[in-house]
Amino acid sequence: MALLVPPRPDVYRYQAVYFLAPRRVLDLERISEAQFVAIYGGAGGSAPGAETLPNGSLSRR
Amino acid sequence: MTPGGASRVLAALALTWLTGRALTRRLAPEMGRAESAAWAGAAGLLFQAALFAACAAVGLDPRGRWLLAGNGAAIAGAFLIPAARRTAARSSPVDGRDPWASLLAAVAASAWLVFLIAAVAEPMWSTDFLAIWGMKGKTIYLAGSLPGRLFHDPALYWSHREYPLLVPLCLASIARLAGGWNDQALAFVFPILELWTLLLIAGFMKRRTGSRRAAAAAAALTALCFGLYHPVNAGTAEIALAFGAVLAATAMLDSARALSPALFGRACLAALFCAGAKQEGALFSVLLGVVLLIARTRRATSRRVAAIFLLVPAVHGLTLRVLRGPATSRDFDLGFFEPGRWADLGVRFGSVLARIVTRETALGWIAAAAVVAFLIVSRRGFGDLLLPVLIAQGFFYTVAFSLSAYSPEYAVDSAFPRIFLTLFPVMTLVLGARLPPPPGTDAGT
Repeated sequence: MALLVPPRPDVYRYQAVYFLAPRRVLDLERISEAQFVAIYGGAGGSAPGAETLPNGSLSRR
Repeated sequence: MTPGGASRVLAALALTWLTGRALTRRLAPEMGRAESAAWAGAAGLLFQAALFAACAAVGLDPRGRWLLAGNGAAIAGAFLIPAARRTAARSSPVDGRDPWASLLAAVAASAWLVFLIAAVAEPMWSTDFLAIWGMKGKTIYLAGSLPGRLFHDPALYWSHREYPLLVPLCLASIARLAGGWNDQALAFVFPILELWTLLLIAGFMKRRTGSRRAAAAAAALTALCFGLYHPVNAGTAEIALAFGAVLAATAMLDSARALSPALFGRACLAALFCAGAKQEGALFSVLLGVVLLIARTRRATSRRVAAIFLLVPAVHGLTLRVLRGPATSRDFDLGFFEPGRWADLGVRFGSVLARIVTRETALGWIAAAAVVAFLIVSRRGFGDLLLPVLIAQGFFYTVAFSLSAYSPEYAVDSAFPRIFLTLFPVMTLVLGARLPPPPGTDAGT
């Protein structure tokens, strides 16, 4: 799963990786390796067809 | 946290202790109940981690029932070997009732209770738990194996892939025994580690000094180290490392007296616990070995224990290297060791020292001044053998901060207090051994 979160503070990413373990969580640079893309808040807009979630969206690549 | 979740984790910890108790029946012939309980805890945790890793290595999903069977087999096997005969002949006679000792013991118990409540009041939350120890533990727990990507996935570049695995493996195996990953109930592991540390310090000091007051004072000082026993460290390796360092320090101090052959087993266990907790633990073990070799204690026992302290971290590191391949740290720039950059390294070393003195020491200057003043006014004690180890460890921390791939000041601010305080429980052994002995005892031997 690729995750788009604000770069600071780091704990956004760490918390997501911890809660989603043992899934592989990737950052923007490795988005091509992901099956899903989760976007927190307004960190990177939202993809077409994305499912809206509280504080963000989730889409399949 | 539900009562069921808490009770399952506590039951898993109780089983861990029972297994350790069975495995250490021959390791603690001269010890009292408090010390024996602490060594049993250490052996139990090492056993759980090793059992989980062994199951994973042979491709067996370490389910709860396999782990239960492994624990049962270990307990049954341990009882096939006769226990060591208890010997109390070399222990110092213990003084009588002492109201100060009772008061200090009450302080230690109260401080421990504060950490217990604070640690389990909410799920473990610190950044290092989420990014390193908890993430690895939960991944290992859910995968039922040691996924190679924990060590090689570039997406986890920030998770300190080079760190040893005792804490994640312990969390994973306790969770498997408890039947679920409950990151609030699992926090019980850390107050229990503190409890074993306090029992070890108190039991060791009482055995070696014969003074209940020295034992209670050292335990109370350790328990009051709220910088270490703080909820931010629940879920990380610091509390485990502090426990391992006290295990190793007591084994090292005992080696100067050659109390029993069981000492070699204790030294092995302690060195492995230190090396498994964190790299600082491996360094501590090596420094104990070096100091034992060059100290004036020329007993053959000391030299053998020194060899154990030197070899066990090396074997542990080599085993990790073989199993997971090379894993470099992103925190250090070893290029500073190149001759052309020695001047830069010197400047950085100076700025790290200045930062430690002007900021970190300034924050805790009352405690630092009290420790220094006590060392000046008190008589030498048997624990002084640890002083060169602690000083050398501090020196290597300073060098490590100087090699930081980031700003050395940032490295000091973010890590120095945390890793420095892991040494404080060992320091209380030095301080406790310098307390005046009770009349009529052979303290200081």
